[in-house]
Amino acid sequence: MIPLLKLEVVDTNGWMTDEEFIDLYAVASSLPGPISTNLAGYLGWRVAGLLGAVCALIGLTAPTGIAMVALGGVYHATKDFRLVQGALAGIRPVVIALLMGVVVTFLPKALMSDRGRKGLALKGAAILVAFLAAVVTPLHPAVLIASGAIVGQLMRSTW
Amino acid sequence: MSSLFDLFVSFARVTIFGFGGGPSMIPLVRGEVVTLRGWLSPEMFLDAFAFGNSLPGPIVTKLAVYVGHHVAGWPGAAAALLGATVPTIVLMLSIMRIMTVIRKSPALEASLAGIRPIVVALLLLVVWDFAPATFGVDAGVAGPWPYVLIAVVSLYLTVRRNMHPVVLIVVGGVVGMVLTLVA
Repeated sequence: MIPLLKLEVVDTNGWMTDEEFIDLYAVASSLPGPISTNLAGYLGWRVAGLLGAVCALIGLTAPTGIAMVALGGVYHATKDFRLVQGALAGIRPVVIALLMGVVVTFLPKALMSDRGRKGLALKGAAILVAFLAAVVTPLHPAVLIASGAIVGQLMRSTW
Repeated sequence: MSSLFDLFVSFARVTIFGFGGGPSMIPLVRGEVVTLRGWLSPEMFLDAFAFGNSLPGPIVTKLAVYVGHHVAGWPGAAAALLGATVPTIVLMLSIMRIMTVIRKSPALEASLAGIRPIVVALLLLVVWDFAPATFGVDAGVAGPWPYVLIAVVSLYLTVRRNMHPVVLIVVGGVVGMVLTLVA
């Protein structure tokens, strides 16, 4: 989605320069929240204030949101039919694969370390511990993420 | 009225703690929507994630609109969407100037380095929770193995061949229907 956003913002409308956009993207990706909505809100605000932010956000989220509700309606109306159940049974493994795909592409970044094997092993252990904690305890994911940030500070010069 | 407030708060929590872009927030959405609030059953959430992936656009806002609408109609959709977007945009607008300076600070990078392994663990948790309904004894009419095969082939195609999710979802659905008809 980001190349399309750059096309609109930099090339078509000239709201900012290439460098500004790259900096903005870098900042947005180290902040929490969906990157595209953060960028849209920020850009809308810069170009035309509150109204601009609202318009950019509506433009980005409303069309697919409405399509999603429509698809949801079809799903609820048909999900008990045998053929639809069959299709869903075939789609679920695809979804698992898509999630595993995210894990596979994200893993190198998560394990990346300046301290060679030791750093790698410690980060691998962190994944395992967090996974077990999430399976065994009813901790909210947000609690685990906050703990991760604290561990990151403590382990700063270790991993 | 309170359900509108709950929707706003839940999706605000998802995005405020959601580092690393859309997919890293799926475990948080699941934690709120399935585990904490019980708005969707695990299967319904899995299916919503599936049809959400077949549409373009940010996944978190699609799920917010869908879940919000499911719980409290269009006002619910609006409340969830506002929760998913406004808090982090306000954050970004207010700290943008400082962020251009501190973005390369070791402290921020240290926190993100601690958060990334957690995000991987949480994604694995979602897979772990989805697996029984997907590959278990009552996975589908054809027994678990055809579905395991679909997952393995899809994983290869998405990671190695960069194939678009929509294609995989449509093919998966068609294969699933065929399995139902022949089984």
